[in-house]
Amino acid sequence: MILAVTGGKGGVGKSTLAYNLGAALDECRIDARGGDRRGSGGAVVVDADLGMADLPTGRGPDLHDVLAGRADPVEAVRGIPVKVLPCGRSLAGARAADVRLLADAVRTVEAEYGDVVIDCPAGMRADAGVPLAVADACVLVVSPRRFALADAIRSRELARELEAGLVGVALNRVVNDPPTGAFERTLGAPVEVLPADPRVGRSIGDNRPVVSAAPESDAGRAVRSLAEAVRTCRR
Amino acid sequence: MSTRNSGGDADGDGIETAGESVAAAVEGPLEASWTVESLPDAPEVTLVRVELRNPTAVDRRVRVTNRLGGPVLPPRREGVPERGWTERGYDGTVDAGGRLALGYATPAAVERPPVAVVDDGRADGSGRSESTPEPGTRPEAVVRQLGSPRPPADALPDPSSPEGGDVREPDEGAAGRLRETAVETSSLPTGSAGSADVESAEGSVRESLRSDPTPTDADAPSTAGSDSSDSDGTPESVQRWFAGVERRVERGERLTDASVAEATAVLAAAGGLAAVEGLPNRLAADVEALRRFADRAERLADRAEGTDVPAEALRRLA
Repeated sequence: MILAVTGGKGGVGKSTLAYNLGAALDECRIDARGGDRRGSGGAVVVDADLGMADLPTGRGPDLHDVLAGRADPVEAVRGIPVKVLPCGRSLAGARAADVRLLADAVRTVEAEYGDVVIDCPAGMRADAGVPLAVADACVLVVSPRRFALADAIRSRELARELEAGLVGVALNRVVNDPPTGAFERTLGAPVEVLPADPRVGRSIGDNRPVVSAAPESDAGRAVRSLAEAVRTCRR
Repeated sequence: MSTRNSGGDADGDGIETAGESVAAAVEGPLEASWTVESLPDAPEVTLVRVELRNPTAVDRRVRVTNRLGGPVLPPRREGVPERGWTERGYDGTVDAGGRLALGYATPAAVERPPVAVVDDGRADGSGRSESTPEPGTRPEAVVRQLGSPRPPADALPDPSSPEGGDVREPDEGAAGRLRETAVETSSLPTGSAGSADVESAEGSVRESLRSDPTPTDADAPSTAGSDSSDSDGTPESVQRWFAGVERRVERGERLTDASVAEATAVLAAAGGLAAVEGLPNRLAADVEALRRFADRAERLADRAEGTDVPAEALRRLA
């Protein structure tokens, strides 16, 4: 299945959540198969922020190459423990990339690996829209700040227009009592609260998803709940 | 439908004059007429206009095929051809009792008739036809609707200039960083962030730079020789630079969405407002410097990867 991780504003923690959700979905997969993870199964996190790559790149072809027809999407997948299809980092690469090709590229990765988590860019342009259009479902990442709800509603509307059902909301970097009820009622999806846990913030840089680094933490549990909600929506 | 007095055979005398619309023969109830003319300033480009009319009481599908020598250059939105257009022509529906006006260009000579129009039967909505409404979720529709995310061409660095074409000169960048660092240094008056007196503060600023260096292009060559590298191959100067940025980023992260208690703790640890006031500007400068560095590093890596030193051949030569 293809899941889009979205959330209108920049800096809410989409990439970190996408990375951790990818790890959690991978875990689900192992459990489902009774511990036998076959060669190329699992979840792949695609960094679809064409203008500002967030996930580590490493060496090899990246999404800019794929969307310019220079590489096959499967060639660009790499990483342990979380498989990532990273984005390039140059303006020239962003300019040469055709976002319309993203849909097919993601479907190819899904066919090869099983699950795709798309880390969407901020904003409302086609680079945010195409991932929602190709996705089966989406997760909204929201900051608990007062004015963030309006942005979240806009993102939810865009997802609705593009037929990506909202399966869960991640209220991210929560410090004080979060307005969970208000968000749940307004957005119409279960809300998981992720506290401002530095292990989450470090997870990409340290290459340690929180579901393995701190599975019993609130953050770890929240990520797993989101993954569970996603799993139950599989076609 | 425009019918300028420059063509067609309106008087039916069998002689066509360029520009007036000409009725097209269509098998089926749909009616069609077309005009074709080349652009006065660009005779190699031809404009074709087609008007379709449906006198019946049901919607009908239509297929318009270009007969001229070149590919169809269709009307576009956000760079994507409008719905129904292909390189071959147009597929669509003419509403019951309605009209449909089409126009396209093609880099080819005028020929008559310019199009073949085919009445494709009733549009009953069953079966997959290209004239049924395009699902709004197709990528092309998304781009048309939401806009292309491509950076404009003039945002790209100019490859001919020395640094790969960054808009700010290296010294300007350094001066900018000096000003922002001046604000952060606690020895300066904590007035408004932008009014720090750079000249008088330069001494203390150089001092703080030395302890928290941000290498400019001028710096890099002089430190390169004495630099040692860590296990990643990252030179010491770069590690120090990264460490400085990381400290600022961590501070910024802690202050993002922070509660009053959290923010107070950060301010206390940092030693007051002065140290933190300039943080947004400093972080913005960090972002820019890091991106430039990353671009440069990537280009250099590509170049390095592209070299092919013939070691064996050189050994034989030596």
